[in-house]
Amino acid sequence: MSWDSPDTRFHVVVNEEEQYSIWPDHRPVPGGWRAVGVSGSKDDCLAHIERVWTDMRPLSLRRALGEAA
Amino acid sequence: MRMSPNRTERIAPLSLAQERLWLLQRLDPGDTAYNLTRAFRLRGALDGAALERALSALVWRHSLLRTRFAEQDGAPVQLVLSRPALTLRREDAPLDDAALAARIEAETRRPFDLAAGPPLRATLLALAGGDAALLLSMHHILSDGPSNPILARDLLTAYVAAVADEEADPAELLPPLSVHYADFAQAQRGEAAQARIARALDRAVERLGGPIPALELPTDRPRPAIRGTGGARVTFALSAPTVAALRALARAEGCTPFIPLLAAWQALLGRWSGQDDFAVGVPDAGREDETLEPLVGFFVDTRIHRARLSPDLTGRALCRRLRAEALVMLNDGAAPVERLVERLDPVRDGSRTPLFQTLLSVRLDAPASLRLPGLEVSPIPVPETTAKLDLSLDVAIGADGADGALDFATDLFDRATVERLAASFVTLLNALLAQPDAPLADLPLLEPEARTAELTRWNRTALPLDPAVDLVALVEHAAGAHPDAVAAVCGADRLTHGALNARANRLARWLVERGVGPDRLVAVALPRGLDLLVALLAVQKAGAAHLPLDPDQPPARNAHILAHAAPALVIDQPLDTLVPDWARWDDGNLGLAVHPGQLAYTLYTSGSTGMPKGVAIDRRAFASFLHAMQAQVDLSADDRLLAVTTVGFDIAGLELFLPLVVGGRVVIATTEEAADPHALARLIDRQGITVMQATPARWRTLLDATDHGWPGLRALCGGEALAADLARRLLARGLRLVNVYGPTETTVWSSAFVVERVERHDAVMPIGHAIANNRLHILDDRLEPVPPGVVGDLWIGGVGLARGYAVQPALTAAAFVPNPFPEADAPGSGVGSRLYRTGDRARRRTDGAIEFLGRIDHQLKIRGFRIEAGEVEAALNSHPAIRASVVVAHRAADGDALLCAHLVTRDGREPGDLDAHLAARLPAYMIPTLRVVLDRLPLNASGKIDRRALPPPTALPAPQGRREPAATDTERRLLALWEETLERPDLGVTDDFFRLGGHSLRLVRLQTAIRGAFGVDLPLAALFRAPTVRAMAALIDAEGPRDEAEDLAFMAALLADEGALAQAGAR
Repeated sequence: MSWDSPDTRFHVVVNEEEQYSIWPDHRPVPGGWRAVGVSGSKDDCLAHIERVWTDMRPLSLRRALGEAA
Repeated sequence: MRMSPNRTERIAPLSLAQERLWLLQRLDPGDTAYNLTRAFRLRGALDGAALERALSALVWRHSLLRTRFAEQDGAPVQLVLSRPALTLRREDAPLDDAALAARIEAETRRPFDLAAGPPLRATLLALAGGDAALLLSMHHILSDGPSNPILARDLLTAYVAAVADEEADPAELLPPLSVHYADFAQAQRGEAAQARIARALDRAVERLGGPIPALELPTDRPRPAIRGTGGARVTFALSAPTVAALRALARAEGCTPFIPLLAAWQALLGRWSGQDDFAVGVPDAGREDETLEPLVGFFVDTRIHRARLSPDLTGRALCRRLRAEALVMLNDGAAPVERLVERLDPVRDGSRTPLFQTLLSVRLDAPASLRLPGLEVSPIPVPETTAKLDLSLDVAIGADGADGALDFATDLFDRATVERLAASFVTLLNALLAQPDAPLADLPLLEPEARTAELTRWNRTALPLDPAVDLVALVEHAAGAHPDAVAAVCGADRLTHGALNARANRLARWLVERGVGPDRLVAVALPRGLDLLVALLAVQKAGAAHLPLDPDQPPARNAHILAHAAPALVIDQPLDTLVPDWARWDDGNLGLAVHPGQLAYTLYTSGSTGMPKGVAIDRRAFASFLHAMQAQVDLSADDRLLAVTTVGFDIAGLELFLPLVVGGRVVIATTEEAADPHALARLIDRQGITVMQATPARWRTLLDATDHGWPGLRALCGGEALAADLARRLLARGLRLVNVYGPTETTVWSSAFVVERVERHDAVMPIGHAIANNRLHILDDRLEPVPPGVVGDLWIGGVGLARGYAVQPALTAAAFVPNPFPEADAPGSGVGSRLYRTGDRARRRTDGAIEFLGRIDHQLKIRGFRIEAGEVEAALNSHPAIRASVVVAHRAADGDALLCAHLVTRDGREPGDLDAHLAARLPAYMIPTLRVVLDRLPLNASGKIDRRALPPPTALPAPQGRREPAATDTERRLLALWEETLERPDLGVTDDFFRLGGHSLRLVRLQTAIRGAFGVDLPLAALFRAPTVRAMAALIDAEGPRDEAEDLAFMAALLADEGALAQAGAR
């Protein structure tokens, strides 16, 4: 299933810096990333990310600046 | 021996297949692509006289072997001689192995004259050590692959008989045949056969469904305008387990092993080319009547399997489809390939073979040695020195394993590339056989070790970074080391490192007091000058990030960016105005702690939607970039860099900061100077510039405006593809040239290539290798690495990756994706890291350097042909009167895309000989239909060619379909000859001969008619290249000198096809 195929389904994934991305759901998620439990079409996943990824600063920076949640 | 006179016993027409070869030979009598050469080692007691009589017996039996070929009334005929004309030539000087190999190769290069006598030679060579070798060579017009065992069998039978009976007449050593090749050729011309062929053709055309796209495998060199026939061979083996699996799958699917091999070959070609629709030729024995089976002759034909691949097609499904196709073809009967070409691909493209460019032939038995009484006969390999197609795969399946051979056109491919292709074939075939129900697109092209090597081999770029040593620390260190050295010059202004650092420290404190700090943005919208440099540095010192805005950009764009980025502060006035109490602020270093992940700058680039998007780069990425480039350019305190680029383009970051971190000097060109190549040239000379970075377009204008060299000047060229001609010119001026590449999203540059020389066939220069802490991967659309040479998408990983697009999480998540190839030791590429998808197409050369092939979405496609604009531009730029060119696709009102060249020429006019210049360098489909001459190419603020600002072409070519009447007497008379030849009255002088039902033989007739009517002897190939009445009339009128050899090569390419290549039709 190719990356750009409209039929490909994706997971929303996140890494330890709380950076978000997407990954095809039929392939193992690369090391250092975990699926957050949301999957669907590429557009669905990106729409979810648009809603939840409100602070794009990496977690380590947020912590260093004393603003970590 | 009887010595009766040798006369013609019979005259017959040529078979369709023979006719094509006859035309080829007539066009290029020196061509040896259709020589069939066989060599045999004879070990033991050889009876030379018996061998000579056996050869004679062979020629008695097979009358085709005593046939010559001549022309009668504009058409070729075969003349069967009444007795053999073959003599066994003996060469008695003993040959060692090397001399034997040389002798065999020389034989393959000896052409035949088809008219002079039967094109057949037999030579007996003495070998060192006492053995002998029999060298048999003949023209393909006499034989084919399935004829080989017949020849061998009959020759050996005759030899045994001749040894047994010294008195026997050679004519009676073998029983006569009841049917001869001439009967077959004659029957093929009969009404019944013609009707059968016509029906088979109709069915074949219907089955194939119209024009088939040419297979465009990525080549190592640009495809020549005229196909060459030079070739070579790569051999490889299929293991016994592979062949066992092949037989097992074939058995399970009720087909022969040929079918899975064809499936794998189609799948491989599809993956290698990125195409899902193309054709593969497959030789077919072509002996439909069993009475033809004992004959030696050229019967073999080519079946065409059109590949129609789709992403989820499995190996098993493709096997089933191919098996059904083969059955249908069998039922439909033979559709001779030369007729199919006329129907499906009448407009010939001299750069490639018509209809199909690759072939698969499968044989079921590998040749083994034979034993005769007192004599052992074993074949000697004959080297392949010609290629009839781009690429042909031959597989000979033996009892335990199979031998593969890939014949390739040496004009197009390097041996190493074809070796990789062979390895990929084996890998993919094994995977297909192991998992016939997996989608073909999921099958590997690389073995696991090769895959790992592809990912890591060229990406060992780790350069350890001390997190404390970021931009500010580096600049402050240099200022401490070289306080009195001049750091920056602009116009009459200058600052030392010490003064610059002090001034930036004061401004930084002013900024901090205004609440500016880590991850806050400060917009800097200052004109080019020292204030700009101070402001940018001060923002970094304050721990904040700069948002550079070029005040010369359209106000609406800057307003949009400001609204989107929402900076904490905007610096848009002279610093002395902004900070009236300058002296109040301490000028010592601030010593603020820096987190490597904090923002360094946000830079807005054009988005595909037209709305700029803000690329957010952190401090670590920028520091790593400066380290990497310092190592690449080897910059020191003695260097002086001329900065010419707007701050709105991220590459300005290198120009402004790299000199500061090494204690060198930046000379900032003012906006006016940057736009004036004469002013830039003066700056280079007067300021003692040692390094300059610019886009190709800007370098080009600088070279155009000047004529002297700058020996040793280091030139960084990036932002667009570096054309070969520009690289040559830059080198010729003595510059040390580095081609650099990178998207803003991976921090300025990600790869570099030191250009030391430009090869003749280069169109654009490679972008080279990853710079320190970057990793470049070329991946297919499943994010798997492609083999070297194969085109894929370029992805970048490493420290340089941007944080993302400011305030655009979805856009960021789509472009920056999880890195599936994490490597713990590689900075920025460990677990949890990301890859950025550049949207650029690229491929890796054998030496690891990456070639940039343009944007995925800029790819030009004209009439189904994919075209690299860079290749066309290179051909245009090689014309002495052309200074610069841009090639784009122009969509005309009727929806057809046309290739359009925008040219800047020396005299403002299109060169008169441009067509001829291009025709000698490019395939016809790559020659731009439209040309627009411009005073200069439009550049955007970043110094890149602004394609959107190119004016649309005004004059479009006249629509097809209108009949253009004759304008000259020659045209009138020629038109009449055309109408006669094509048997139709309604022609115009711009109509294409081949679109009107013209074919090669009709062209021969027309050639004869032209000779009769005008007394002008035009080479057939010249006529081929001038397929309209107008063009031919011009040739007749001019009768000017033409390069005949080139014409012949062109014609040969037009006619060449490969049925002839067929080694055998067994499947």
